[in-house]
Amino acid sequence: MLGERLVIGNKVGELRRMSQWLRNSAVAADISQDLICLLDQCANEAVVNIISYAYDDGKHHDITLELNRTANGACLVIRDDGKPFNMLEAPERKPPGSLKDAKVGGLGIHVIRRLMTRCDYRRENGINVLSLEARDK
Amino acid sequence: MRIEAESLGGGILKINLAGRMDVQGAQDVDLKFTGYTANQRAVIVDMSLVNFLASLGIRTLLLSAKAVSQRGGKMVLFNPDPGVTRTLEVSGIDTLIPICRSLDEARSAVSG
Repeated sequence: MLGERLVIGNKVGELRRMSQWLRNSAVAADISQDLICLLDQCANEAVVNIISYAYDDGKHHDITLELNRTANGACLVIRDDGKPFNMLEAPERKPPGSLKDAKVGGLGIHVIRRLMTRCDYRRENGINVLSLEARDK
Repeated sequence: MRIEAESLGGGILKINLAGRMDVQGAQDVDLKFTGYTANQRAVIVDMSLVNFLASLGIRTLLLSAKAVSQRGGKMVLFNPDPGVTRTLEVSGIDTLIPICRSLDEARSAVSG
């Protein structure tokens, strides 16, 4: 089945359009609101990372999102032509023991790992392809 | 995103947030949030009308909580919705900035 598809530019101003698209697509693809909330959270974290770190040429780039219903959930595939980056290789975040010791950044990847049932990354013809899968309870 | 602050008396400040605390939302409130919490020692952040919390929003909360804590004070979160609570729990922030479900509980927590 062909999924729902969206192309956004590498600007934070595009994030709300992405979230709205996810919520509209949930209805079209028969995906539960709960799963879409999870995917919206993780898409925000992943795409902010792409916008912030994948490019250093100051030019416009397309980021493509594709949402598919799976047998027992939903899968969001995010493609960008930025620098190769496999977030799954990032070190696990250690839980801080106190406010004083807590690091302020680096939470996005941790949140994605915890919320998604499965994450996959591959580099394909110069494109980062990140698949985020959430399953119905 | 909207932000306002009100004094509850007894040196307690309540900050009311409403809307989507994503990148744009966090940018909307970041400066005011930092300003409101500056010099405060007892802060309750009413999260009940926040319907989305991204890690950048968590950053805003964490920075202020650290600053309040360094002054020997305490900041707590009041009544986040289930989706926001899930985000706070998976990020481990609930162990650093306590979540209170009633205003009385929140008052006691910051007054202690």
